[in-house]
Amino acid sequence: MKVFGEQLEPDRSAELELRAELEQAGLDTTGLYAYVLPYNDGRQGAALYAVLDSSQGFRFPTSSDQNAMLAYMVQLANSPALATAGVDRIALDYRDASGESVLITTAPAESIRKFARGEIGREAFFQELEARTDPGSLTEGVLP
Amino acid sequence: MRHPLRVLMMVAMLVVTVLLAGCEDFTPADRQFVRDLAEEWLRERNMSPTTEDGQVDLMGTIRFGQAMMGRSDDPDANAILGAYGAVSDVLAGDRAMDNARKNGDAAAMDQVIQQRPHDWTYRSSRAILALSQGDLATYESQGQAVNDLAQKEGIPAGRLARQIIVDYQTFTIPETGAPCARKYSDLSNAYQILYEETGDEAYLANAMVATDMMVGCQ
Repeated sequence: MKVFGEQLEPDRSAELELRAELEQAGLDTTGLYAYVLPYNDGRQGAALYAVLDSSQGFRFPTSSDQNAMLAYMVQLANSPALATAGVDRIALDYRDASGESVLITTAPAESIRKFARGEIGREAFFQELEARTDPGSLTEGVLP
Repeated sequence: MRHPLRVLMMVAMLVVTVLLAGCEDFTPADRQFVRDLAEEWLRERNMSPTTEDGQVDLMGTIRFGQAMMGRSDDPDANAILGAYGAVSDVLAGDRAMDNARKNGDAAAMDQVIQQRPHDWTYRSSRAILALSQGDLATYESQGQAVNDLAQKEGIPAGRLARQIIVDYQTFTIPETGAPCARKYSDLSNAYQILYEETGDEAYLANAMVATDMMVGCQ
């Protein structure tokens, strides 16, 4: 059985509440596509798969660097709307100006909150973080 | 001999990918930001394909290869990274719907709805677009479809209310006649529902304003 079911069906309601919450906090949600994916394998809860789509106007609230992406993860992990939806894992999929995925990161929501509270350091947090990236962006200049 | 061969093949594959990646629309800012985060992550996870002195690191390269494919020891991480394709399909529909909303393109919306007929947010937008175009029959039928889906899926009224408010912010409805009356009736109900759900007085004030505006439509 697939963890999110045979046919992916995001919880649109939770997305609307998250969007309303972020806008109330003064964040521009242009280009954010937030998919709350309920578990379909007998577990309660859901995971969030958020697409940060530059091709549709997404911009980080601060500058575009690795800390901005981590800060965005923290913002989402602390969302009451996502807590209500039972979200226990967060994935961010950053898309470039052509709409192609260049980096996906994911971590358990609780690890992100611990990192935000300073209960675990950056090093320990990176052990909890998983990622998938466009190989070109990663290897250029690294390999001989 | 096996491991060195695999490493060589992997490195060769990566070099080809690097060359191909140069053709993509990938801004320098995107590239730098992705590299910074990915490199930090690789270092912390001991997954760098090279050692500090620039030599190929066999184990690092293998872990690096797994990382590029989004494969980890964590099944939940693998599950969500594996959802990429299915999410991309939904995203394609959402982008098309966003463009249709921006352009007020009913035909484009109908096409997206045909692909994802059970998505009540699409149908809500289609209903309000129809109202903005004076098409009361489509407004009624799509509105009914939203209610049917909501009932079937057990969607709370407050969530429908939020979507309808967003839709009315997107489309311009004539300020007279039946479309005007429907708009303010819908908004009055939506804000009333949110007030009852949250107790936020601002929603009640908006509901009262919408009721007053409805009287002005006659």
